[in-house]
Amino acid sequence: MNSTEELIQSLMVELKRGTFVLLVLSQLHQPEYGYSLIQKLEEKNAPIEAGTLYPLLRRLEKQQLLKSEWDTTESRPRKFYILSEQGKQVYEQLKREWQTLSQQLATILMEENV
Amino acid sequence: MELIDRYIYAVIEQLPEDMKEDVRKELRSNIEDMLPDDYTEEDVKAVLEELGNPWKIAEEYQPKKRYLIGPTLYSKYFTVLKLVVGIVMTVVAAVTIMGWVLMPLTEGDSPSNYAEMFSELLWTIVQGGLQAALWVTLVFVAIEREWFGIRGKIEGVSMIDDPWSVSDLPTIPAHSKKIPRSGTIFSIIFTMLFTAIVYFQPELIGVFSKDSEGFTIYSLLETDRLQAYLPFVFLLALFQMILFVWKYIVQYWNLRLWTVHTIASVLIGILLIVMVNDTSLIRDAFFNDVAQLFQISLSNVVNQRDVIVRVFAAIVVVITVWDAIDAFLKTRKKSA
Repeated sequence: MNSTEELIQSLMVELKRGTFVLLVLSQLHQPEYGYSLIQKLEEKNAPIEAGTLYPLLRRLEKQQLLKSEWDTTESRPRKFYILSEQGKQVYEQLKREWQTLSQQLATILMEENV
Repeated sequence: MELIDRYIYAVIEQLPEDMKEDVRKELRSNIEDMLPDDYTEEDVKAVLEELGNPWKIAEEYQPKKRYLIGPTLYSKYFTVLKLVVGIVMTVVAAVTIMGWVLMPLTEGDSPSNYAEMFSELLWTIVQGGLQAALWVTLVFVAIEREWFGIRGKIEGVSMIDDPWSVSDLPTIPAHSKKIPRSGTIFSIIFTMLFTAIVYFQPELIGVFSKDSEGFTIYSLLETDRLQAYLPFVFLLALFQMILFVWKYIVQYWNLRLWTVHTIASVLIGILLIVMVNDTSLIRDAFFNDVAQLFQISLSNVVNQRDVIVRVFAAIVVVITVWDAIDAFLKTRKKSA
């Protein structure tokens, strides 16, 4: 791999990383556990690596954007996550910020193309 | 399944105790979710490889700071590190060289002793530098981690996230105001050496002459009388040392530094003049010795005494005044 590609790779990782929080919060209006969330995002063509997602869920819980609960009724115990009240607020706000940002960026990138 | 256990162990090994169990349980159920119902070892391998490097996941989980000194403190750390290590190495070198003066080589010493002494000096300097670096690092790690609630409270260690206004901007120092560090280091070593000689081996101050039997020293000072001056010598040396460290740190002349510098050199000048005027401080025998050595008559030497004292005092005054004016002009210089 030459250095330009490497650079693009690492810049892409950085760019994507910022979107993970929004992506995860958007899917947690109803409870999900780690693997179900992975599948869901995969179906929506926004795959996220398991090794990234599991720790992220924990961090968001620590920041009190998510609540969690162990479900032990099934044969395999699973930890379910859902948006907290604060998480919902943060998500709505972040979503608006993202929309503004992406519109601005889209406009600027369009100008560039002319 | 042993592979899963080993994988989970690798992830949680470095995590804090209170989250280990929960992460273990969650990770296990997630891995099992990713596996088909009747899985084989091949399936496990595939899933674990998909999850990727367990240490990378552990890093994502880790809530503790994953660095000793963070980016906000990093450049401050380096500034202070260079400063302290530089000063400590200088002082260590000076103390070691002082030790040589206190225990001069005796005649039978071969040149290999000099090489040994020199390598010992280097080794001591390196050790001193390493010690200093260790302690500076520990202090900064403590600040980074807010161990003793000292974050940002150390004077001169301003944080990048501190509030800031235009008035905090430093003035651009003029190059002509600079106090070279090499000079300061030389002064530190010289001061310590000189003080040590006056303190412990005052008989070394005098006129040396070499004849067939080796060196003879005609000592200048009356050791008993010198005792009375030692406290002043010591205090002034200490004062000077503090001043040198200050100069080493700020590196540029400013008015406050100049004031203290001038007070120090005036005090030293006064002490020198008082000392040369003290007739009982100079050994009577010294005049005899010198008269003999240079084959001039004793009366001639004694007659010259008053003149010598006056010339010496005048030189001290001239040097002190000239130095003060020179330093003052440097503080006044505008930055380029």
